[in-house]
Amino acid sequence: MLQRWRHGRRCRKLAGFSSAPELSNYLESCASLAADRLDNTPLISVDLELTGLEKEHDKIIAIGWTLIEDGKICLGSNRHLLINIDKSVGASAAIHELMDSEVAAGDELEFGLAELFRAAQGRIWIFHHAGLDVGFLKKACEQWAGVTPGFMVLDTLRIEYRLRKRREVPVKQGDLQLSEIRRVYGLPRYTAHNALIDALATAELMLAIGSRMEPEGSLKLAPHLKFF
Amino acid sequence: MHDLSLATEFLHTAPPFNTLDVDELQSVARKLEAAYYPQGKTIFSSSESAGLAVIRKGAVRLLDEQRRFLDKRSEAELFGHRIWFHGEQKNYVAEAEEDCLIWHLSEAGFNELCERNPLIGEYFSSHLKTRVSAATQVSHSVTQIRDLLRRGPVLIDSTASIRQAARLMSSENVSSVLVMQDQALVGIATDKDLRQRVLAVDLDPAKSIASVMTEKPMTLAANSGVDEALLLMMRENYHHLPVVEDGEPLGLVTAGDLLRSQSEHPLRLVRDIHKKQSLDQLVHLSRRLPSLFERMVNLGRDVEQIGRMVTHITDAFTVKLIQLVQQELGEAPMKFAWVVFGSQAREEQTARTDQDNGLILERKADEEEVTYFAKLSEFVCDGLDQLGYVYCPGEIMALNVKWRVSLAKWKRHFDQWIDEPEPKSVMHSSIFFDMRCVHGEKHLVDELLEYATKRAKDNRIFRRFMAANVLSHRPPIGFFRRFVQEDDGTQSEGLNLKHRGIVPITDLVRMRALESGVKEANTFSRIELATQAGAMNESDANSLRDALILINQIRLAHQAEQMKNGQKPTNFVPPEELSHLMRRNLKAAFMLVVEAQNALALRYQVH
Repeated sequence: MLQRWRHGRRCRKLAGFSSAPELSNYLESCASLAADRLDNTPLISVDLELTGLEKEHDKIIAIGWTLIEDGKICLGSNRHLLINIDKSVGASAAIHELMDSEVAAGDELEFGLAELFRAAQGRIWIFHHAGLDVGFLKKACEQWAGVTPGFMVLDTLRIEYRLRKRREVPVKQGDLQLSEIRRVYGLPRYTAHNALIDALATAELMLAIGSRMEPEGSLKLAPHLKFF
Repeated sequence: MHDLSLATEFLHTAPPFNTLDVDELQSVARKLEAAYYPQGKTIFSSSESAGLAVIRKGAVRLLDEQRRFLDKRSEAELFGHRIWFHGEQKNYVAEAEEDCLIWHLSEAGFNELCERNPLIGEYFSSHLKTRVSAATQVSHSVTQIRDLLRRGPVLIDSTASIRQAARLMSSENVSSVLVMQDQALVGIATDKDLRQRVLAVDLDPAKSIASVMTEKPMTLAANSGVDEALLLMMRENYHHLPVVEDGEPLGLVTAGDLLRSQSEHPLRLVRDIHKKQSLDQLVHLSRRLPSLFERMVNLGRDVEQIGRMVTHITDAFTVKLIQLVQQELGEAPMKFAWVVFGSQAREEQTARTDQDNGLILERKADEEEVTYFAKLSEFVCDGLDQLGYVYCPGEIMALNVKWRVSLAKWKRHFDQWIDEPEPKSVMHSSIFFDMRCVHGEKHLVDELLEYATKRAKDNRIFRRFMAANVLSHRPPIGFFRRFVQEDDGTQSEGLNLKHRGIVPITDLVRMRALESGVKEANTFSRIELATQAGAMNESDANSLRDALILINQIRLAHQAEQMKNGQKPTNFVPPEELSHLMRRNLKAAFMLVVEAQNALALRYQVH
């Protein structure tokens, strides 16, 4: 509760310093953001494709997201944006199957961020392993709008990890990979891999975890939130 | 990669969405909402407006309001809309059988989809009956008899003399002439008539042609198909038939004309059978059967004609074997009939068939006569086995002394089944109610059939046993993944189309035939006659006919495919070999059968 209040106050304060209106609006909305239950709270599930793991010199090359309303994923809200970067994609191309030429044909990062934060207005974020992606987004926002926004997040990896700890299920290396947890929940296997597919996969997993933790009603979100 | 392609790619695998173009698919995908339901959770109950739901992953169980099992569905299948269960549209509850990911389309979105795409709307709203009926409409062009007429008719007035007729035939260079009276066809005179009825008996050629013609000849309608015409000619042993339209003669066809019109007509085999003089030669001929069958199916002939043609070939082999053995044994010591039962009697044989036959003797045979018929039966049944018509596992064969008896004894068999019915004997005897004479004295078969039909018709208790037997073969209610879905919620592997689809229909129709005293064996004929007799209404008749055609189409296609791959044809189809559309159509056909079975259960108060 205190955390949420602090997050709201910080965001409201930052809103005035942001040079990008989309980010200002997002920050404004955070101040009054309510986190009630999974089936009545607006959510946005996001995944980034990166050239590497170091936010100091690696880049965002794709942003994918989808929205959840009333506990259902709106497939019509699916977005997948490729980001144009100057530097070559390098070694990570093998992972993302994104070639330099495709990336070069993408949008400017500023445009991608503007679209993302417009969509995220009034929503709680969902990531699988939030720390990495949020770190990249914070850094990008700083360069784009001059402020480092706050994030109110449901991290499927963290929630599942805590769930297993509580149930004393041993967790081995690799058990908490997105595809591995999804398998456990009987979710479809995606053979392809990109920012949108992973965002969608994360959204589906969030619904699955929620209904498993609260089979009769709807999951209360507050105990599972993490603030960045 | 498009933002929606994940959704559209999957939708494309789920009928009827596979019929939509990319733009339409995207507009549907845009409106979809994905939800997750853990096992056991209720997804909706149909009192709510559910719209349409696509199963993205998992399985869903549909229950009626009393929570009785209705159906089970899996990936890429739909629910939420009005669904037919057991022949009626029921309210239902959908529950997650496994953890499920479901894509919902709202009621409004669903309605808009149906309005924009009439075919999709039709898919969801079509009545079971229209669905099955539409699926049986195979488009194939049938050559009509009128297309084969090479010249107009050669006509002569009935008052003309024999001499005038002969001169006309010579000048026109034809072998037969149609005799007319007041612009109506009254007879036909052929070369053979002139030879046998005039020259050979020194008849005065000045007499009228009407005195030697064949009166009121059988005619063919100009729009009949070649198969139909050939079957008629071969069965009735006519070589020439006048072709008429609206009562007016258009010309004349010969069996030769018909056979020549189709380079490899299946019934050509019948002619070849007649020419052979030994079992070895017949065995050699019988090797042509598989490829012949395959061609009949692949040319898209309708299943009723295929059944009749295949059976006609079996009949021809049977008759030839009897003739061959009689050349050795000599004339029979008394009148007899070679009678066939089951699918051969019904003229519904397919690629895989065993023999069901018997002998009806005019009277009780003495020892010497017993030996004669034993030898005859042995030769014919062994011969049939060698030709690929394997021995009947139930030993319903003339080879079995029990089925080689006098007419009086046959009647006593029927008496016993009808007067002292018990489930097992009723099950075994139903095949005997499909009976047809293939060789010998047809009146013996007619008399037995008349007797058996009348006795069954008059005995309600026996018919009640028969009804119970009919209801013991229930079709499955559908498919679940690679399994067959049974109506108690369990699944079984593989689908025997004969036992689960064909037999229930032929049993039901036999029941109707017995109720109305119809003596025809062929299921299609029985349906028609029982309808005329008022025992079936038009709509039920159409349902059963269409269901039979549809199930048989899939069965025959499957058998033809097996034969093409060098396998032995079976009635067993693994569900995974059926396309989505076939599954859906089969399911609709099964439901029509269940509907008819339920009506029968109600009528006889059996379950």
